[in-house]
Amino acid sequence: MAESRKRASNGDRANGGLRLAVPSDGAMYEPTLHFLAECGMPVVRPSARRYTASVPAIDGLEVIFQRTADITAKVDDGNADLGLVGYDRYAEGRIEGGDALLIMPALGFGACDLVIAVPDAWVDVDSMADLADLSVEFRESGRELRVATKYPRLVGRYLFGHGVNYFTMAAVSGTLEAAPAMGYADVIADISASGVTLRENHLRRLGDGTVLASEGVLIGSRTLLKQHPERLARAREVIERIEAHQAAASYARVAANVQGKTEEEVAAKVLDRPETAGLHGPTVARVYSPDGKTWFSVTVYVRRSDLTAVVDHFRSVGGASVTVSSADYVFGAESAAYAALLRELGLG
Amino acid sequence: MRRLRQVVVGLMENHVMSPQDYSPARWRRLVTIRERLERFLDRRGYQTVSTPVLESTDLFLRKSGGELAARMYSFVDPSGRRVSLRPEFTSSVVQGIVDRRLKGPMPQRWQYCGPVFRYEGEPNDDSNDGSGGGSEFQQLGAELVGAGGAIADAEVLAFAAQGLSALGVKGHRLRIGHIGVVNAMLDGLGLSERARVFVLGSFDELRSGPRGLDGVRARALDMGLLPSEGNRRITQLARRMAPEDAEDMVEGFLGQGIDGVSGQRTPEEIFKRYLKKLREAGVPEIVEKSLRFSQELVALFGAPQTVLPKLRKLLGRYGLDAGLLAPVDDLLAALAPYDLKGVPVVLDLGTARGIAYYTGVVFDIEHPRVKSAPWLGGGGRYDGLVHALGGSRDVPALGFAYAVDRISDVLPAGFGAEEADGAQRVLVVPQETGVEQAVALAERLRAQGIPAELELSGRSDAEAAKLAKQRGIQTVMRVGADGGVAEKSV
Repeated sequence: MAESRKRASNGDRANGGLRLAVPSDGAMYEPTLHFLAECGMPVVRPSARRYTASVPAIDGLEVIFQRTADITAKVDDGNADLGLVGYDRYAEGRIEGGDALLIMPALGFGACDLVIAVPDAWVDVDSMADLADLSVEFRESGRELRVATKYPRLVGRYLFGHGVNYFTMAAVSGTLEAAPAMGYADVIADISASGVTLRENHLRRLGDGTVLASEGVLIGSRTLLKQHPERLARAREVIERIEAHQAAASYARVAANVQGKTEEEVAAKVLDRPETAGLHGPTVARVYSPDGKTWFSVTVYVRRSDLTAVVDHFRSVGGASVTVSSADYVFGAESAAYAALLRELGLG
Repeated sequence: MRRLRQVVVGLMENHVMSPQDYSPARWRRLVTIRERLERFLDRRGYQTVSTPVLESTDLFLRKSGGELAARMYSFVDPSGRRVSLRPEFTSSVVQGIVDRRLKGPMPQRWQYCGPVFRYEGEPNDDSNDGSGGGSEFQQLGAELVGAGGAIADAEVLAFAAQGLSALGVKGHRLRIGHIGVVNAMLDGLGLSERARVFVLGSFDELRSGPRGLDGVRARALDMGLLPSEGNRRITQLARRMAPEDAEDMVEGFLGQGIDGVSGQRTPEEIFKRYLKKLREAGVPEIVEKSLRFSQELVALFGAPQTVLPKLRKLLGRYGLDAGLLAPVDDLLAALAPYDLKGVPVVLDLGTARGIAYYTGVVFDIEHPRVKSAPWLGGGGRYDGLVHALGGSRDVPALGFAYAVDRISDVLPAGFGAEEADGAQRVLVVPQETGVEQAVALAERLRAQGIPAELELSGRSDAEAAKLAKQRGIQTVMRVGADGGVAEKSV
């Protein structure tokens, strides 16, 4: 605590340095670093014991490693300007109307579900309605349904919302999945990515027991970003890089040679199908071919989901040697996420 | 000092639960509404009781079956008990009767008024019903305990509607449903209790048309109310077998699947409940028929004289006895002697809220300017609650509550102003050395019954006149050190 306070007043941050909190532990640690690297912002951590690191790609960006459960609070109380965290942790830890703002939802990594699971042996329990029924039965026989979770707020609300009214939250430390076998819980509510851990511990998720679907999100401090234009400018770089990476994942560059008389004719043929127009329409350029025929090279950025249709179309208009390549980043004319952030901060 | 200032600023910026900050004018309105409704009910025999703001969480859970649980402000108090700010009054009143803190010959008539607390969710959240205004609401209501039947029902319904008319509310209407009658109909179709609760709970969804029906069907399958193909044979088998044989069968099938991990439950418990579930799984034809029936039922609402014949026809088509509607006929007949001052009655058997505790009539008082529950108010009959809260037997009871804040919203702008003190008010302004004399004058005026307040900031004549205007005070008296008084009308 004292250390982080000291660092809060260090030169960089005072000069508009931007502090990004990322998970130091758990299932999100590796994927978050990998994600940042993919977005062109590899993190350089001098040693695994150091809780700060730098991102050479963006001047003045400092990374601090925090326990996953603490990141939302760090952003909320102004100890970090930005945070990368699972939506599950954000939803559990945030203060409604508080300072921690959801800037970019669904970053495409760290996907998992917060699920309610019961012992395999409970063959009579398939749904939340069964659990509701059972909680009454427990109560009538002088017991209480014990739920082990690290997400008391989300899970409590979900249980109440599904008519499960009588339960106690079991205090847990360590692995939740073992709680029923150890005998200190009946039901668990935890993060599950593949379901393997649940199965290995003789637990089964309920069909309608998905409390929340989660993946990595970018959050930020409303107050700090509004008060410090230099940090906001750096935050913009981070947001734009993430957005460009996301856009790149959904676009592909298609190039083909098409025969025709004029550039206009070729362009018209290509534009015959709306998907082929891509981001901004095709680039058409004359190919000086040794065989004497008039070939034109056509390049276009299209949605990956349209790829097959686009390639087929090129073939149908006489296209040859169609190549598809990926872009690392696709920057639009303006960043939609940044524009949305400005509006949220009352600056746009 | 700086630290303190930060704390204070923090508090001002972040209200803990966006409480009502009532302006003096709004508070005046609410107090006037409260006084008039209290008097209205008092003249009809309803005595005012006060109940704790903080109660055991359990009390509210036992009543609503938790309908409000997700919206309660609950915490562990310093003694380690789980407590909640009250989200409603009925549980506390009934608990008072059970504990014999509230005593008297039956039937008992009680009324109450005060703040209730419910988490409303964020503006874009599903749990937000759009009532706005934060988490604290003023509620005023009445309970009639120890009387069953249509006469008691009609009294509570009529007073709920008349009370608003007496206040000057215009345009409200009474939407009446009947959980008891609907339950009897679904029972008549052969629905198991589990399936009945499910179907009743799906009424709102069924109202949204064919897509609603598909959604409800899918959920029924999820819940095992409609047996899946795989389960159908074993369900039929279980129904035909003697209970012990069926238990053996299930144990034989599933015995190996049950290992050590089963929480607090024994394998026997699990088999038993599994079997019970198999037996109680709806017969698909009956569940399907009930859903179709319910979809038609919820589509029928309007003036009783037009809806009742249609309801009778509907019952006829599904082979149900038209006599099931007798409680509705009785209620409407019992309402006849009351002058409802033109408040329309809408008969709507699709009104199925609070099904965890209402057992008979349920009603809402709607208003065109209020777009969502809890409307202007509502209530119903809850014959099982006394027993559920520890009473030795079921006691017939019903009640209703008004949403006072919402009533205030639909009353005309000038409402309550006439209740304000009409007397001439005086602002007493001391000259620099005349403070003592000014206080003495103010006290003399007050002793004579004249409202007087003291200017405390050394204002000039012009400033004092301005202040008086802002405060709605008609007379300014300036007091000198010699006790001389200069009076001026504003």
